[in-house]
Amino acid sequence: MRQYILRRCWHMLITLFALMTIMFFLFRLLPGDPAMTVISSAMYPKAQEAMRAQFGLDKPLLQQYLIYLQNLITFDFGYSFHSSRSVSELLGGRIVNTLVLILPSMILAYLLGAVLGALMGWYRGGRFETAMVLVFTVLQAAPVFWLGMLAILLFSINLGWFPPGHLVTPGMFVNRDLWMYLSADFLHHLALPFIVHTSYQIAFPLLLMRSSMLSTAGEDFVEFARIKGLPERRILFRHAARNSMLPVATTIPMILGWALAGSVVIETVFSWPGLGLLMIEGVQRSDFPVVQAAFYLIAVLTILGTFVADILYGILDPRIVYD
Amino acid sequence: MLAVKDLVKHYPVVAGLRSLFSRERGKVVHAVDGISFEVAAGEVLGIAGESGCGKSTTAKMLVGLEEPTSGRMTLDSEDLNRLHAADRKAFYRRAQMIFQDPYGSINPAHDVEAVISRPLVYQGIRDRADIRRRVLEAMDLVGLRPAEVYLGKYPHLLSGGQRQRLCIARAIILEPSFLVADEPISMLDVSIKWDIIRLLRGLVADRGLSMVYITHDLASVPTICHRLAVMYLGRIVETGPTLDLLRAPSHPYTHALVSAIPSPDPGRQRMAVPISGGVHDAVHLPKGCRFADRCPIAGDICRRVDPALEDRGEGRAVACHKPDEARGLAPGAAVPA
Amino acid sequence: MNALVHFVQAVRQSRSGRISLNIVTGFLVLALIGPWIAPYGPFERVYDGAGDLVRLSPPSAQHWLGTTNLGRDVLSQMLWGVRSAMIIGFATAFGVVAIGVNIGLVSGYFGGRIDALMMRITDIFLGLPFLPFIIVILSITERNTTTIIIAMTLVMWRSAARVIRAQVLSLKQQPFVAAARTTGGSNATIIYREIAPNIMPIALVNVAFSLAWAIITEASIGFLGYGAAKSISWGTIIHDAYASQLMYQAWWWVMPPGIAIMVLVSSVYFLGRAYEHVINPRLARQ
Ligand SMILES: Nc1ncnc2c1ncn2[C@@H]1O[C@H](COP(=O)(O)OP(=O)(O)OP(=O)(O)O)[C@@H](O)[C@H]1O
Ligand code: SF4
Ligand SMILES: [Mg+2]
Repeated sequence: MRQYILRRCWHMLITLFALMTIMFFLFRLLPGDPAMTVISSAMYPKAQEAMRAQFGLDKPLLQQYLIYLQNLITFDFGYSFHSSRSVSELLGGRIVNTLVLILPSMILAYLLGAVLGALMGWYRGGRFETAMVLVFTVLQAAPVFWLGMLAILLFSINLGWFPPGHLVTPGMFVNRDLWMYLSADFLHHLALPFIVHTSYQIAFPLLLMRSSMLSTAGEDFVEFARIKGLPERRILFRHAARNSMLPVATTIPMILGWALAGSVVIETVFSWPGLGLLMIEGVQRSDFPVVQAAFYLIAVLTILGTFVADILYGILDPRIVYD
Repeated sequence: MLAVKDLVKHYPVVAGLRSLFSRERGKVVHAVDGISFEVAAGEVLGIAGESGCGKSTTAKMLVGLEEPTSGRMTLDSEDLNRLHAADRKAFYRRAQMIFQDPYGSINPAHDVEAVISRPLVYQGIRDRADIRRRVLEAMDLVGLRPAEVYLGKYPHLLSGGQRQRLCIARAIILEPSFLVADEPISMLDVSIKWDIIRLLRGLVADRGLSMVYITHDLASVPTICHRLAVMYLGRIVETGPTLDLLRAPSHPYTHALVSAIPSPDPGRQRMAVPISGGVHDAVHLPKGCRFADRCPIAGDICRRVDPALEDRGEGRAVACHKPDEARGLAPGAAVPA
Repeated sequence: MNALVHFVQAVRQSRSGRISLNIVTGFLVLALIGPWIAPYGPFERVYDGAGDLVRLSPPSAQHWLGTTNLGRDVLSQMLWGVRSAMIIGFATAFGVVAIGVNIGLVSGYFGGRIDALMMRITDIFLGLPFLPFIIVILSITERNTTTIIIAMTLVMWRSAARVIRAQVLSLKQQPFVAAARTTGGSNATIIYREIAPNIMPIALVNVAFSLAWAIITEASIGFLGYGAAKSISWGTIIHDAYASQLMYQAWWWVMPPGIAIMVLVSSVYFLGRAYEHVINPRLARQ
């Protein structure tokens, strides 16, 4: 087991290294001179050069690459080409915005999805269950940005219940501090994207849980519990559902990485200034320090997530032997 | 003629389960531990022994599915190891295997015609009509008749007996001169076991095949085997002409196996389980005789000295310190240690 | 071909399978004939009798699904869009499964170093953020149908490869593989003629789910403004509506593409699931 973990850690490092190397060269292929977005051609040539030197763009590519690797190890991502702010600062604020939207929504989606999915798998075959499967499959099939637009159309424009986008009412908060995230205005803005994202995300754990329940429901231990005369509800939640959790539970460590990577679309619809929107802006402006850092973060989270998921799988499923 | 000399196969214990058995590092499973035998043209050699004694491993090495740890195998005085390495394809035209499990050894995605014809196709035969003719011929030979009924069927629609016939057809379609049958009847219903045995016997007789016939019970051996080798824990403990050996076993283990044969005559009931206990584990072998912990007549010398397989004349050989005493054992007298 | 026939027979066993099969077939037919029956070209601007551009017309007898702010007929755009959704969807799905099947087969069959190497490569691709990476690729290259298919395939094959490999790992333990080796077949023969037919069912399920996912992703790409430059897709229709800031006035402009995606993708999901139930009886036990 310990050897297994050590070997996996070593693999993770190699994977990360290879991934970031590919990234480095890929981003240098982005069109346009990144420096030109910051350095105006109207500047004196001397000043231009100084700027380039400041961003390290005057050095040969290989040297840039080595500096890049060094920076990744020390988590020093340098400065954004565009806003001249430090990447960590820029990223930090955006990640918070993404997380306050995505995390609670994912947790709710998983909780609701698991419970509903378990119920559906248990009381399968009925008309109600058939309808629910249809509804959630269709929900899963709808593009989330389109669901977002429909929600805005209905709840913001027609009913006027919620604002159609943005973090807070513009100009209302001078400082983006904790108070802003606790304010009624923020929660008001959060509601709509939260609802849309949750109802979109719920389908996956729900349908997974349902099909897992379908294969558990016929197992011996369920029959055995019945013969023992345990109440149906108790069999459902204590026995069948717990055993069906495995496939759902092992995806939980992955969701942080997925959610950050997948935040692009929902943030675009709701003009939500999170990591996803930042990545899109970064690509458009060839601001690679920012995009690289975001990709790095997502890669680390995904790779760690896979690792934790595998370990979790081994702990929850006694049949697995590590080798 | 097939000749095997000092054939050995050791599996490392810790491959894969490294972390769990780290104390076992370097230890090996003595699956096959130095066996020698010969099979003449047209002869059937039976190899019998309990589960885990290395029968399948031997079979796999004979047909090149496992590489021996050491030892020499020759087919018509050509070195098999070299043959496997140099031209596997040509080798399989001469040697074929029938597997124990007629369910797992047939590709579920292929229909009967595909299963039987694949060996020809993989051997590079392109002539469709020729392939068809040979498939029909093989099916007729193994008793899958009428062929039209079976050709397009998928294996899950066939019974165990039909599947084993299919396996036999596949094995003989390349017209090999040497056949290995690894417990071909052990997974079949009693009612069809004898049909399959008779089928194999007929094939051997008609085609002059050499065959190694592997089994864990001796009941079917007299019907088909000319000679018999009894294996225990990776070694051959006794060998000789089938009937001689069965009538007068010289090794306590053979004796026990013979006693376990269900008698066709209900009046002469023999003891069903003559020896008790499991086979000694194949990793940590004892210093002396491997059978000593179960042998009813084991003595001091048995626990100290490992008996070698010694020639006793009349084509027989035995690996036991007390063969004469063993001979004197009454049927079923072997008592648990 | 055999596998396809089996697929159709299998999904037709259930009602949801039959309905979805009909819907998907319908879309396939539209993909073939859509551009012919479309009343206008995808970028054609429509003028009325007086020579004025028909801007933002609600659905009418003339324009069943209304027009856009540039006077383009939404129904025609939709019909042209079926083709690109289908081409991109199917090409990506088959690309993904083709790569996944090959990597999975080779990796699982040979094991050892080859397997380790291929799994490391798969891990690298698993670390890529899905949509953002596609966007990066599409910013570097030209944006057309081919590059979109390639970009999507690049990030989607990874999960197919893992699923197939797991299947191959258990299949290769089966005695029929050993039996095939004693026929003198080469490794390639055994992989592609003996093992591969047995992973076709799993591969087909993967084609279905990849197809669904590819159609949604393609729409997302279009919506983000990275769709193919010179052709119309459902995603770009929504993008145009979004970018023009008129989407909340012209509901007829945004509803059709979303509904089409929803119907098509959920049918594909149902097809995949119907087939899964047939090949995996554990799921079907009711
Ligand atoms: N691939 C392997 N790796 C490690 N050990 C193995 C392997 N194959 C066989 N063994 C071991 O070698 C020994 C002999 O196995 P083998 O399959 O040859 O026995 P057998 O006589 O055919 O038994 P059975 O009647 O059960 O088929 C057993 O202890 C088995 O556990
Ligand atoms: S050598 Fe000794 S222990 Fe071994 S079989 Fe003969 S009598 Fe029994
Ligand atoms: Mg065996």
